[in-house]
Amino acid sequence: MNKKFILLPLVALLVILIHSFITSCTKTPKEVVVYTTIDQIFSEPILRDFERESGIKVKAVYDTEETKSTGVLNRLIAEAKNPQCDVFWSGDPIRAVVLKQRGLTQPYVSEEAKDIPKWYKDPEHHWTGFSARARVLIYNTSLPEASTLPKSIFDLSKPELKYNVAIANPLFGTTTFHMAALFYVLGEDRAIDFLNRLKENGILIASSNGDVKKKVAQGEIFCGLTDTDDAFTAKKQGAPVDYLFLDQNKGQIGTLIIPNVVTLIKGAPHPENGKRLIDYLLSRETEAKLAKSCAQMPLHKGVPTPEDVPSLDDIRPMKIDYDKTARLMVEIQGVLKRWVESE
Amino acid sequence: MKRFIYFLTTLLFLFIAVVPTLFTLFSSVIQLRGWGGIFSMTNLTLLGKSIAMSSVTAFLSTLIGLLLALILERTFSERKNWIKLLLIAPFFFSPYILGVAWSDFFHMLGTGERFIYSPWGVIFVWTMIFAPLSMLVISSQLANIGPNMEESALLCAPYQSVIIKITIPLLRPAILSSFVLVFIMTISEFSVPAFLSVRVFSTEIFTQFSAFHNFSEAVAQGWIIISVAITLLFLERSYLTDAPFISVKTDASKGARPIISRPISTLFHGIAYGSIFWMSVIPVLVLVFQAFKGGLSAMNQAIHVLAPTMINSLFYAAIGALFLVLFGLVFAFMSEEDHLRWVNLVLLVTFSIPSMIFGMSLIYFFNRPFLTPIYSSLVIIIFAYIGRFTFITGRLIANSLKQIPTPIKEAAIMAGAPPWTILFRIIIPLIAPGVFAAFLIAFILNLGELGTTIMVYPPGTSLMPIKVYTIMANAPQSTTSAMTLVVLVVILSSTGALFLMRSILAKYSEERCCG
Amino acid sequence: MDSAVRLDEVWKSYKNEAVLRGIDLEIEYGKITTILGTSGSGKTTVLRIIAGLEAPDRGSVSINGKLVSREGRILVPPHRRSLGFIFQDLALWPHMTVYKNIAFGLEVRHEKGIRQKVEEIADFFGIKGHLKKYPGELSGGQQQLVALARGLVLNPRLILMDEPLSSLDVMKKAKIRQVIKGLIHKFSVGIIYVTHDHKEAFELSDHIVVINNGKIVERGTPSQLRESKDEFVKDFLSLY
Repeated sequence: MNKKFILLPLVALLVILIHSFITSCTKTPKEVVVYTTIDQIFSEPILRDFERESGIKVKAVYDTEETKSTGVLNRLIAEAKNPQCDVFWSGDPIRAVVLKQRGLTQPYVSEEAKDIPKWYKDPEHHWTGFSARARVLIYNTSLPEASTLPKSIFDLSKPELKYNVAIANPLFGTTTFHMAALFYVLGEDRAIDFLNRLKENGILIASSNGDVKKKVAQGEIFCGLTDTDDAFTAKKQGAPVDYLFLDQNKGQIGTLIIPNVVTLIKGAPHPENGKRLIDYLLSRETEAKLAKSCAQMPLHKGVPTPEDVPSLDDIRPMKIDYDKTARLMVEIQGVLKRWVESE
Repeated sequence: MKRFIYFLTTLLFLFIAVVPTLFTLFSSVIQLRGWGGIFSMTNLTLLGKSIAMSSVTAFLSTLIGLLLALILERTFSERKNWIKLLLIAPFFFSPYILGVAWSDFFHMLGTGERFIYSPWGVIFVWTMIFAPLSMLVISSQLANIGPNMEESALLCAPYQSVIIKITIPLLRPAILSSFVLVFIMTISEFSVPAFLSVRVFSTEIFTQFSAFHNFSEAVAQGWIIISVAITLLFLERSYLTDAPFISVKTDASKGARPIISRPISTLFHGIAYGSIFWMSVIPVLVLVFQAFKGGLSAMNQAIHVLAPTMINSLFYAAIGALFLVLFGLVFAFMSEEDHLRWVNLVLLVTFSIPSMIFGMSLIYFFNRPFLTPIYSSLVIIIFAYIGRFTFITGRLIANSLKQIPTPIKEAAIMAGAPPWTILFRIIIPLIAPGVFAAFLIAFILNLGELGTTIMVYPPGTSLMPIKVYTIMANAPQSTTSAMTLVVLVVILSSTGALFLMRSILAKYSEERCCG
Repeated sequence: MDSAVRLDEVWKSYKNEAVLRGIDLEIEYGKITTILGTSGSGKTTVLRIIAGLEAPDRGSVSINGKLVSREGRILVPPHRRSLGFIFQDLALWPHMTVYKNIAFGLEVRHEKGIRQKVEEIADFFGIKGHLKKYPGELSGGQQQLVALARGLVLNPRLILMDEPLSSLDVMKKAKIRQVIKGLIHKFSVGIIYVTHDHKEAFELSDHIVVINNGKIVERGTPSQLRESKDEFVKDFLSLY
């Protein structure tokens, strides 16, 4: 025990400080910083591919909507005065719109997105959609209720399904967006009425979409609303579940399509590399990879997909304006919070 | 020189932990449209519910901890430390994982699901997590109570009255600190109630934060939690500034082991082993079952995913622990040698800052162009560790210092040793076990820290707990459970390695001094 | 010749409670002076003030005619006072070997011939065979001798002893008392010995100072003390 002992940490501190100074001061042009809310198991391989193909080092901050995205979006907002991030890759348009509303994004028109339908893009080019998920009803095939399946989301408030339906907490993740879309399509009064009927029907509010999936897979509850990727993975893992698209008949409202969205951050430290990453994400290749890994449906026409991945051509989509719906979401959050908290 | 070091350390700590949080408080107060929303009826009701739930948890966990500590210190001898180690195993998991494991356990049992998805379920899970901590806090003080006090009382009263009238009153500081620690740690814990769909004050902050992105409201609510903690501290300040919280015994054990009849001792041993089974074995079994249900593939995947993060995590946890020990040492000296009592209060208050809010404060304060070298490097992670856990290392070391009798130092003064020599040749060697324990606990806490680091970790770096958390989503339960087990093994084996290193070091220094 | 130690009107209080109330005291070299008193009488405080571990609130302390403490200030630090201090519970450093315990003071003073000095003094006290052991491995009497060796190896002119024998049995006490008496001649030091045991005081001392409630109530040789008229002293001496 001597003075060398106390020197050790001081030397360590010095090394770290010098190291960090060097790495932060010599901002290599060959890097790009991306924050993403896409599950790391799906997003990381794609970012690695980009790194390999472009030679640009990708520095990522991961977070997942499953765990309710405490990190990424809050961090982007908190960092507003001194942005560290170039590209924000979100699992849904809502968060991009929140950022745009707070003036944290900048427009970018990518050539790659030319043939993506315009309703999947921000009119002012702040965000662009690609590979989409859809909202589905996941149900347990081994339970007796499976003999009569609901066809419409409105069936979920019927007495046959009392205490048999789960939904994730609508204050978080894609469920919020689903609720906003309902408000957009139905108007506020009808939407609130429907939600109240769900509550009266004893709907179970789970902590996340993944939790809905888990509860249905374990047979704790018969069915629930979740995203295609959750349903797809549950099925792939051999759980006794299947899923269906609701409201597919003529005159019905259709099912919600949720595209991935990518946006360029205002004041991005590496804007050019950011744009290259955005181009890469919006490419047909990326859509093909996401179709394969997590059953996301390509928005480009004619991208090859595995057989069990549904095509957007075969689905009746809910007709909404994504930008307006996302704005609406911010407004209805108070209503949703009261709904969740009501007995 | 001494004053300079005190000044510098305090300044650094203020810069790392206190100023960022105060800065965030004031900016949130300025931006807040009105405090009406904060003090609304719903909020106050929720706060009341949170306080009630945390109090019940703190009470139960202290009670169980007290019982286990009494059993361990007074009826066990040689296997005591092993049992302690097994009992604190749940502490190596994140509360979220344990919440999931317990709810899965009740699902497998096919009953009790209504119970687990209720406030009582949250209290149950919290108690399972924090009772081991209470046990540790109480047993460390119990071990320091000499046998004569109990033995002299035994001459005139039966054992149970001795426990109630002598032992427990002597343990009052430890019982209080256990209560306060558990209360503070649960009142800002949100992952368990969020997972079990129970609304409490901390989940409300979380909602303001992640659903509404209403930072000023969230921060203001966070300060309510801090003020509740401060009030609690204020009520018991005279005890708490001297309370042990956690301590490690410096001397060889002299604890009393009164002779009790065989059936009772068997019963007590049964309770101890039963608790290990309940608190540690069941959750681990659930995880093992889930991880290996589908063969080895989940485990392979977990190792594959976590392997690249391990070196990084261990390295930063170790560096962080080193700094935590340094800060802890200086603060311990300030509070014990120079009787600067405010040090303990400042550390305890920073400890009560909810991790999310501390993370937010670090971003607001350090993310500026001229501080970028700190913010965009791993220094910020070390800062996060320091802000979160200096209280723990400070207390551990202070309690070791407290155990050194004054004449031991005065004898060195009489011999003519200058202060630095006394420090390095007398005091530090004597508190070495406490310093080692502080390093170890800081290391383990760093390895598991999630709440703050997930908000500030530099892009492109990967740390084990964060990776577990981000991979967990949409990964099958088997992978999540497997990852948790991998983390447990990493923590246990690195702990083992540290113990080994210590014994080698001790041997080496012994040879050097006497060879 | 100046007296070894001289205390003038020394006052000391802790937390507003006076422990010493105007102590005047002179101590000579080459003698054993005992400070005798009940517990709480302030006798240990006198010793600590002489050692320089504490400063008197009022009054002054001189050693060899040189002012060392005065009015709340320590003018000469403990280790420059040429004193040895034997603590009540010995305060041996548990993490150091006996050799290191004894050598420590020499090492921090960068003296030469440390090994020889340590071995010499260990030899005198009959603990040479234990130099490689740790204090915890020794008996109470042996620890006592280590503490004495540690105090004497720096060649102090005065040794302060704070009830050093309190934890020993009767046989060992007698033996160590003989050792202590022998020190006066061997090392030509003065000894200030604090105790509450008047038998010990009578057996050991050349001079006894009785202290009660922070004041000196009587002083003199053992035989003078036996004739004391002071009520407290009479009571105290008749206790056993």
